[in-house]
Amino acid sequence: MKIINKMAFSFCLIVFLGSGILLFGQTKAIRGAEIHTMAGEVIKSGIILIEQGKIVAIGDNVMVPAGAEIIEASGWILYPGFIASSCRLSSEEIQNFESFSPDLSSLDGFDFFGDYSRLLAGGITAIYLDTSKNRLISGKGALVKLGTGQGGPPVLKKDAALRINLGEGSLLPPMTKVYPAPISDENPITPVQKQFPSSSLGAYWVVRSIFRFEPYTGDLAKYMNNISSSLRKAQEQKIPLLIQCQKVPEIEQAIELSEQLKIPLIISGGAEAHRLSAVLKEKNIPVIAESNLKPNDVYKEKTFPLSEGSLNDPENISVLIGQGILTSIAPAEDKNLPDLLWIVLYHQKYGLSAEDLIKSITINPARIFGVDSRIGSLEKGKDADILFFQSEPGKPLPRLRKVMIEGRIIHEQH
Amino acid sequence: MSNTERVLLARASFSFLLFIGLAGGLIFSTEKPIYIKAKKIYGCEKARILENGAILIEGGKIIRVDKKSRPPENAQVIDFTDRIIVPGFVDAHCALGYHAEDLSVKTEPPPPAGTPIPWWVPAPPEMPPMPEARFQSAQAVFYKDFSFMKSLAGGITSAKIAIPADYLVDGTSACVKLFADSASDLILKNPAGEEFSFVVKENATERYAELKKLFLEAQEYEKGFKKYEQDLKIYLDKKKAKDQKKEAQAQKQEPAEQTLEEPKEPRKDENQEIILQVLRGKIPAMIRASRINEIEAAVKIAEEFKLNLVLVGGQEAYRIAGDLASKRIPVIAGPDAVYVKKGEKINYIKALLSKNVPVAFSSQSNAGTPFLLFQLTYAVQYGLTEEEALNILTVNAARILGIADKVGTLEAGKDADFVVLSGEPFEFGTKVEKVYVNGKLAYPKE
Repeated sequence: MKIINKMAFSFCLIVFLGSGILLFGQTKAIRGAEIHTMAGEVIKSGIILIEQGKIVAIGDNVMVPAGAEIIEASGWILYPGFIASSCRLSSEEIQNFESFSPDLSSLDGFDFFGDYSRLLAGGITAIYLDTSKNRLISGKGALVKLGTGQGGPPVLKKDAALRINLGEGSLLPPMTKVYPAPISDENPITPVQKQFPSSSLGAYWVVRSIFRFEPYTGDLAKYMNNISSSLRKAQEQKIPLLIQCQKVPEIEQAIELSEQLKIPLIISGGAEAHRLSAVLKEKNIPVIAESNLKPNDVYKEKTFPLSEGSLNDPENISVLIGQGILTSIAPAEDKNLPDLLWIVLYHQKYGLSAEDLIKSITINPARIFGVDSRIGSLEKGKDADILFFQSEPGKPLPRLRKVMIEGRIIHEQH
Repeated sequence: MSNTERVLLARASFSFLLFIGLAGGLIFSTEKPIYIKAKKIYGCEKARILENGAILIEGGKIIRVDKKSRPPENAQVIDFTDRIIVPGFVDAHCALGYHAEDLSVKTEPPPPAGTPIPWWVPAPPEMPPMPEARFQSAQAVFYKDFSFMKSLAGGITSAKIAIPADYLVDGTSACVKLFADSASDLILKNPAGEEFSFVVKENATERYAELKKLFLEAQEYEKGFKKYEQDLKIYLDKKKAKDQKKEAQAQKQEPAEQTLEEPKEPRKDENQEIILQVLRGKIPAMIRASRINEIEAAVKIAEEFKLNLVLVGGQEAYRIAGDLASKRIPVIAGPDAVYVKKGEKINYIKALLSKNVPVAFSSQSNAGTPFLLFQLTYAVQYGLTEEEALNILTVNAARILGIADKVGTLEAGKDADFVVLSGEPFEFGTKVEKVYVNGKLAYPKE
């Protein structure tokens, strides 16, 4: 009996494995859809051939091999999966006295098994995990894919960039909400320690001197020599600097820093980057622009968000894109990530085409982080991360119905 | 010169002066009529959409909106034949015009009493006084506030403004135009409503009980006055009788009776007077409530005291939409266009409209917003039809606020408030190009 049992089990196993191989090995063909490849012209009625999660052929004149699984998609509109170029899904925002944590890797804090269906519903298939915005040097971010495909681990790029915050975020002193206990012998007065450095010029000076790797003496010696050694590695590996800078002087400092250290630069935030667009274009510096648009949220701030001529005017971003600077748009708050397409398409108001704008959430971020060989557009050899849209009459936008990641439908909605 | 001649001359000179005065008045008072042509005009009376029509405006009012008529000879013709005209939007609840740019950031609440505060911690600033029922938003508003320009840029021409607070009683709100030549021209309707807020982190029953107490106090106050009137009447009757008696007694020389005491008039209280008007249904009670328990508390108290209730916020009102419809309780929705509950998108405006609940939309912003159209576009994506969305922004809001005789549609006799759009209202890439208020160009600034 035991032998029969074992035989039956192994037979089942063989059948199961065999069918698995068949399933994985099968070629898929998506036929008849309008394909926005983000790399060249729109294909009006094309075919995409997918093998093992990769696109093997794309165009309007592709031979479909016999035995391929055919997905009829006439009337559908296909786009490559969107990339959220800034999100804080794994950054810890615990208030800390430390201003430097360059060894911190955001990949360690990411939940690979989390439920990201809300992001998938917004068409986001890859995300850049940012590190904290409240420290001077906060760590290394990573690019991951949502919904694990069969093509290996979902990490697209580990240590994609090293974040430096030159703005106001790095200068915020640690918050103290709890009042100190009454003064006694056991509780002597210990005034709140101020974050170091405490001015924007100071921040710049500290970053520059850290990267110069000068030996330090005095109070800061212990502090800085440690940091220098870990940063030296970043410089050797040519990890780009993702520098948070909003105003013109901060952006100028960031450019100067990257030139001195000969490390590539990515500008994050960049509220006033449009004023330096000529310089950015000449030096080929990409911008991850922060947008404060909220398609479905409360505008109750007492300050003036998004007013004309202010730092957050949506027109600033459209100037960057119009000038041909490699720009990616990212919402300032994570809760607006599912409405990424809305935020991006709003800028059509300033005379930009939808195609150019969607590039800022597909191929542009892929180029910025150096993963354009895998994602960002629908081309031969790239991952089959495809969004299936269907247009509905009377609706301003076509509706996202299916999300395919590496050849498999991961998310569907009615 | 004889007397008659003098009279004649005086008459002649008088009539001459009168003629000059009248003619001059005519010349200076009548502005040129404006004749505006457009590709499409939304919000007209009979055919809701008029294609290739024209609007004739004179003295800030619409004279007619039609297809056939030709422009008068002296009219100034403005050509928008490739543009779309919609009525000016009405923001049904916001807190514009309170110098928001000067307001400081909200401070932390003071620590609990008894906590020793070290000397280096600065003293917390004093909390602003609690608003009272008699506080009028119309009195404090600055008619050239910066935030008005920001909302105008989004096509909003009139708004209901309330005091930016979240206490139980938030004062009386007023309907205003966002563009005016003087402070007095600004006000459309005052008071538009008495503002209450049931939005609390905890249970709304506390607010319900407090408001009930307030209403009972007002009724008590009214009773006090009624009693005074009765007492006064009795007193006067008695006094009259006594005076007559006195005369009789004086004749008979009898001893006088006890002196009568005059009843004391109770003190007038402005707060109570306003609350009484709310209780009589003369001023609508605008209660802010977003969760279902807050809304139910508001509906309950309105039924108890027969209030003229308008719900503000009402994100979860879709759950009792049928009840609201049968009681004819309108909802001023906003600021979110689609309610997101546990990751699920619920188009609560659509749910309310499908049960025939009157709905308006509000930004509830303190600093002005140019994104009202964008937010409604989002609602259109999730189920609202374009016609419904436009009605919510214009005619529905005007009706709920009680200013539909002046704004909300483009009909003869109403104010010439309209927005010139570059394309269809709920489409990506559509720009608010020009905004006219009372027939004058309000945005962009010349």
